[in-house]
Amino acid sequence: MFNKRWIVGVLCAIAVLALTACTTTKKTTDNPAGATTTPTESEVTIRYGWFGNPAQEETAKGMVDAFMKLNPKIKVEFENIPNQGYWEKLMTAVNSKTAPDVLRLTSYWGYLLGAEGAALDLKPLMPAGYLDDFDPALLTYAAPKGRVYGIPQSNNVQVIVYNKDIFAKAGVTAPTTPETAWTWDEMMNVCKKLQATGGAKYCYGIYNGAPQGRLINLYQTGGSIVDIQKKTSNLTSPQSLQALEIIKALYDGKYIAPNSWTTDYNLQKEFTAGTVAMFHGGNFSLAPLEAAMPGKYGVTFIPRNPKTVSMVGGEVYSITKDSKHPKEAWKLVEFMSNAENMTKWSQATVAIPPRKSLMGKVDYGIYTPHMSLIAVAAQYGSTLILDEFQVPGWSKVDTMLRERTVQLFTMPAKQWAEQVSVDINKATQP
Amino acid sequence: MPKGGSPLFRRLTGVRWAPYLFIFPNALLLLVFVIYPIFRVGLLSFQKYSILKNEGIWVGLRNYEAILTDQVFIKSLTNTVYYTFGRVPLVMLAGLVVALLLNQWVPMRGFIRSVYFFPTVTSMVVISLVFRFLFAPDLGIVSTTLTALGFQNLPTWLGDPHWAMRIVILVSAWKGIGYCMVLFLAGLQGIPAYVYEAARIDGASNRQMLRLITLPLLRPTTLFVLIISVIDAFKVFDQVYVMTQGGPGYATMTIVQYVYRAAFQMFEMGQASAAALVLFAIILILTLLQYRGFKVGEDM
Repeated sequence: MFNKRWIVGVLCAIAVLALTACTTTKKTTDNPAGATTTPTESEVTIRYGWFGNPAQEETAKGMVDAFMKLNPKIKVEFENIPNQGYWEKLMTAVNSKTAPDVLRLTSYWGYLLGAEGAALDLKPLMPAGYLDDFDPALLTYAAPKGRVYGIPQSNNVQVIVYNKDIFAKAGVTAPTTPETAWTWDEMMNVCKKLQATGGAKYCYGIYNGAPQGRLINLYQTGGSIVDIQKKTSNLTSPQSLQALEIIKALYDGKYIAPNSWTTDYNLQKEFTAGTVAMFHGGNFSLAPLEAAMPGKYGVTFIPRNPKTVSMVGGEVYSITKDSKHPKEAWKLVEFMSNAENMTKWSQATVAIPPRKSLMGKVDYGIYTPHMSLIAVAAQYGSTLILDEFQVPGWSKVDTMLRERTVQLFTMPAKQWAEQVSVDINKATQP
Repeated sequence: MPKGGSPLFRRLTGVRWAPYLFIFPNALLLLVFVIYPIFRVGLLSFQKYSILKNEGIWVGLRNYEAILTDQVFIKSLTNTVYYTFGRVPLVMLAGLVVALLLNQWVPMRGFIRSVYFFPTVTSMVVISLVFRFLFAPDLGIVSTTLTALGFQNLPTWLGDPHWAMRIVILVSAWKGIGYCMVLFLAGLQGIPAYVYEAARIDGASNRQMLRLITLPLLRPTTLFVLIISVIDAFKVFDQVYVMTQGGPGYATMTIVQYVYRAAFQMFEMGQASAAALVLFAIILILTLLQYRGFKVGEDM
């Protein structure tokens, strides 16, 4: 049945397959990070790894197309990486040296990639004085210890977003200046009204994202999650405990949903459905709300204690250390973060530009009244939040707090703080 | 001279090469995608490895010490056992009952079997997303229906630590019933009809036939279903990841979710590998125990 011809044929097929797998289609050359070699005259292809929503994608692709028109020898492959699992995909791509050249990252990822040696220090690539126009607070994110791992793309600012109809029904007027922002006690009185006569099931949708946003009021009282100097948990300090008691009071008073801070709680959906009268959102909430409930929302400041506070952050452009074309990658980053493109991006995505020269100069169209208030709130961004990012082991603290903040609702604040502090200290003091 | 193979090859090696050549592609795939990764995970479990830096430092048994003293890992173990004890009996019993009912003639039997099997071929991610919407506290159909029926103070389902795991078990069981049904049906159809005929002649009731004929003769199938179900239960991940991410407050944290968390959120690839190997050991021991338990039962 099996004769010599048959066996020889199978062996040949295996040999052909093996040889095909061994050939390469591209010639790669070593181009160490920061090398001063000039690119060849032939076309260079770089990959741009991007995440975001379809509206943002249109603007981003437009910028890339404009860049390629101005730089015909540089081809940019735009890769839309789904938001869900973006970080996991990025890590495995970095590990296998197949990550895109340029990445759009949240500011903390930019810092983390740099700290782990996976992102390029951009200082050798940029011209002198390039960073002078950027808000120095935003540079702290991805620019630790004199290095720059990410160029800020946009600045997102957190504020309270409220339902105008529910507020009108309850006869509540939202504060319009930081000095007149509610205190937390005043807010709870407002909550009683909104739930009794405004028709909302819950008054307040507490921030569902990063732990520092969830516990934003820590930074008002002089508390914090971590003591920056000692690099240990600061949750058991009197100031932090005072802030945690406020959150407990919101929960015990049934002003926030009992499943807040759980995976299944969709804050924006609950707000547009009218279940929640106001929520902790930001400029990033405006475009989706305009689509879902045009003109029926407003913005106000996060309650003060004694001053209001905001969490600022955004996205950065980074270049991976294994990029074969760092100079071309930098050209793309420089183009996308120039004043003209930053203005376009800020308008399209309703974000605050990180360039000082553009502050107050972007035309937001229908969002202008809201963005005026948000620009004021940006001045109250806590720098302590930015400093905490740079505490070693912060990524573990972030993960652990996202899982454990929900336990604050089920036990006394001091007990929760003590239990969580043990894990925070393990993470920051290995 | 034996058939097959060239006289030249046999003269050179004394071996018939053709069978090996035919199994070579599959063996290569097994080596690359199963055996080598297990070996690599074993090595990683003794290292502190940074996925971003792509470098590992030998730390001996420290990863194992870290996970075995980690309350989250212990919780994930107990949750996984709870999940297994909840899901496996439910899915096996329901699968057996449905198989027994559909082993008789009923109108549209083929269609009904397909309906029960349909969840098995549907993606668990899709099913989990749908159930997540169904159980949304204020806006989901479960809560709105119960509220319309007069129930008050409903739990937040997936946001409630007491209910979250029960719902995950329910979703998993719903998906798994069809698979168990098919296996039990195959087992039932392997029981010779004359055994039942003889029992009927002897005056046995349906209940007696079930207890004294069907269940004993289904033993090999039951063992297989039990082993597969337990292994499947210990590897639960998709529904936990989509519905709860291990929360609220670790209430649904399972071992595989812990492995994922350790690798991609805590950046401890070494500890993740150690946890994966602990899981492997647990499944191996359980499988052997189950197999021995059934063997002893058969001998008796």
